[in-house]
Amino acid sequence: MISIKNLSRSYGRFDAVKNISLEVKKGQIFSFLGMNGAGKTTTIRMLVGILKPSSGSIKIGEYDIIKDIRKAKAITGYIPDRAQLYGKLTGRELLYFTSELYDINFKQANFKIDQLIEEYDLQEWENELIENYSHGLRQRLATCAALIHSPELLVIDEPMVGLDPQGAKTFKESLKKYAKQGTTIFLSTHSLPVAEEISDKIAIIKKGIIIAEGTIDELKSSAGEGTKDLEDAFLQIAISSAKLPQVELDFGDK
Amino acid sequence: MIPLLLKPSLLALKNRWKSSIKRKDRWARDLALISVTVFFILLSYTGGLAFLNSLAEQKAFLFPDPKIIINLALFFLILLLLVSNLVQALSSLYTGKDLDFILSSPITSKRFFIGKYFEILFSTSWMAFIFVLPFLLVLKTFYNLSSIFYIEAFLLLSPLFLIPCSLSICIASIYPLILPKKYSKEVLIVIAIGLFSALIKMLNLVAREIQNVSNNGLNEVADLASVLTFSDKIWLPSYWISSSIAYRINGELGQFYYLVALSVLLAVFLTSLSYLLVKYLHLISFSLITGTSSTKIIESSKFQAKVENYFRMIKRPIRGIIVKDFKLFVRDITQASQAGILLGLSSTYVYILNSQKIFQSTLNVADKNWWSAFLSSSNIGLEAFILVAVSTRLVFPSISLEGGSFWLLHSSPLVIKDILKAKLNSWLVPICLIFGILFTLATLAIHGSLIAAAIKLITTIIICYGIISLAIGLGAFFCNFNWDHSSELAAGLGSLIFMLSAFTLIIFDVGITTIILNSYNGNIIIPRSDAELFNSPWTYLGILMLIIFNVLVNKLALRIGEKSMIRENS
Repeated sequence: MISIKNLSRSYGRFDAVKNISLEVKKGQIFSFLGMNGAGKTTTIRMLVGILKPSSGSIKIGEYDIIKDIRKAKAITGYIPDRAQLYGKLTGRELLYFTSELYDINFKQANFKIDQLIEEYDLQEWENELIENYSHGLRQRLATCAALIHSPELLVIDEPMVGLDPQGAKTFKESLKKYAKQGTTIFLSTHSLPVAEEISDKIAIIKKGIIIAEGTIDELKSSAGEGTKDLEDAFLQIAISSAKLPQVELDFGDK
Repeated sequence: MIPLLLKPSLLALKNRWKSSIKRKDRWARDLALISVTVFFILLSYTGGLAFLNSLAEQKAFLFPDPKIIINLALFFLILLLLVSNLVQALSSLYTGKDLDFILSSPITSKRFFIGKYFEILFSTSWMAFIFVLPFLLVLKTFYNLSSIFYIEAFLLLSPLFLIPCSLSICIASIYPLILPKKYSKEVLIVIAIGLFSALIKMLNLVAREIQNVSNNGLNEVADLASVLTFSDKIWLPSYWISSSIAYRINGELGQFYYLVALSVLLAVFLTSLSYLLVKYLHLISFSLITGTSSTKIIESSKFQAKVENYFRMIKRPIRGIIVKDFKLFVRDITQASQAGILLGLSSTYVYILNSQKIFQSTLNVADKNWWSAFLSSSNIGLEAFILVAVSTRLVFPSISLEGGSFWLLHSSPLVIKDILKAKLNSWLVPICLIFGILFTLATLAIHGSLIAAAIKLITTIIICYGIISLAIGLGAFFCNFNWDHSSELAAGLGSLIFMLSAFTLIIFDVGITTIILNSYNGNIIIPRSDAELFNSPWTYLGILMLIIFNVLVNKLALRIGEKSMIRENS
């Protein structure tokens, strides 16, 4: 479903992502882990077509993100880490707006919106202005907006930020459900227990380079004996990769 | 020395300048912008001087009396400043992204006030200053004044900027206490209707007053101009300021210092009052505006079903953006209040039009040709000014207003070109409708024929298309999604460049429209008759030229905007 080849992205003299390659199969939940500033969000922004790669290619399904950008975006849903939404629209109005962006007719949109509002427990809030929503509510609404067109690929940047325990549980369950139905999920997270619980495959990125990739068991075994969980494995791998070439921390104009 | 709250803005400017120096393309762009601004000041100076010299040659005419000329300019300037200050004050005091951070700190109300006061003052006044500067240079040269005039003019013009700023802070401080948030939209509609009715009433009164003026040739025109600018209303601060400049020009220093003192005292009084209101009321007002207790349920399914039924001809994604923009506009008080500018300018236009109608009937035949050409040009110029002012406040910032929510559009299947087209369509229909009707009626009101009115409608629509395209294209070129409050978008360097470009475009458009509507006979311009308009190839050729020219502007502006947005977002 996702095929990334030799992808790089630079900001001035700073290389945020360096020659990475990845393959994600249909229906997989793929977690992208890394420290702050490792290059996760940059990769995600290129994946959803809002940032141009400096070099390399990305294919979503059969569509190239540069050449067939409209088609690639039409089958992708995106939830950013801090989803800013139009405060003067109500939740339902925002979902109508999103459905129109994806060219869904009113009847279908209405049906899907009712379904999503119920699934994400937004019934009490759907007709209130978004400016009155809490961060968690906004995140849930952004999720509904990303799912309105039943995307084949769902890309999520830090999904658990701002969600309460109940919201987080619902969210994890729904991700598993959508993956079972064939939706591919690509998520970046700092929450290692969540990644461990739901991921089929994981990649760890550090300073723009993928330093490890595989299933949870594969990562644990590559981290060495005595590794109890993903957190241990992640820390082991991140520390042992200190021999990576140093990147000059010059952020140029950014 | 520098107010604490202004330091982040100054540091941001410094950092931007530093990063611009590193990037060749941005550095070249900034240099080009500064050059264009300086060029504009020089052009205004030369044009203004030529205009005054031309008026001085009309010996029977009293326009060169400095009081009348200055009053005319300052009256409109102070009105515009008041509206833009009010919008800025509402944004700065209640919706700024920095407010939670600032108000949670142990900052004193004095520091808060000083910071916010200068923020409002600078952001609304710098552009007006650029327009006032050549005006002062023209006066100094035309009336052959000494260089001390610059210092005196600065002293005089300070109240011109301080009074609207302080007054708008006073209004913004008490506004939330008077208007409960729950009913703010309804109350605003009632106020708008009331304001509009009052203006219509005022127009009738003024028109009657003008009709009572005796018919005595060109000198009466000066009297009418005097009525037009309310120069006989001594309670207006614009009267004090313009009169004091006039007294200075005429060398009457006693009167000059008296009016300067009056203006400065009023500015000091209003500034002190605004400080007290901010000190004692701001937190209460801020809590009322930002509180969530007055949430309202908005049912949207039926509206959406109607949109789907009645607007099938518009592509869904484009329609979605238009509907979304409409809802955001009417619900965002800082945006909706900018529509007040539209109301105010349109009313002022109709008001001036009334005077123009009277001008035509009061003139004797000998002076009529010169005045016909002058009034016809000033009418088109005034229309251009209104159109540009409205586009600057409403259309130009529309891309940047997407703010942090732009990711929704950007990650959808729409490309930047589609988004710009949707924005263009959002504004094209309402602007064409409002100005098409207003300017066509205006043509009829000054005794234009039906054919002339129809041509005016067509040319207005084409000109609106060009101006809106330019506003969207340059709005995309100068787009800034990281604003603190929405009103700052119309007060940036980009909007000045848009205004200058739009005026340049309008000069070309007006040139072509003049060729269509008038013929040149000897040294005078005469409006064509209906038969001439119908049969002349210039009419059709002119309209074709206008279409081609504005379509080219559309293509070029949108292309520049699209390229810039792609580059900035990549």
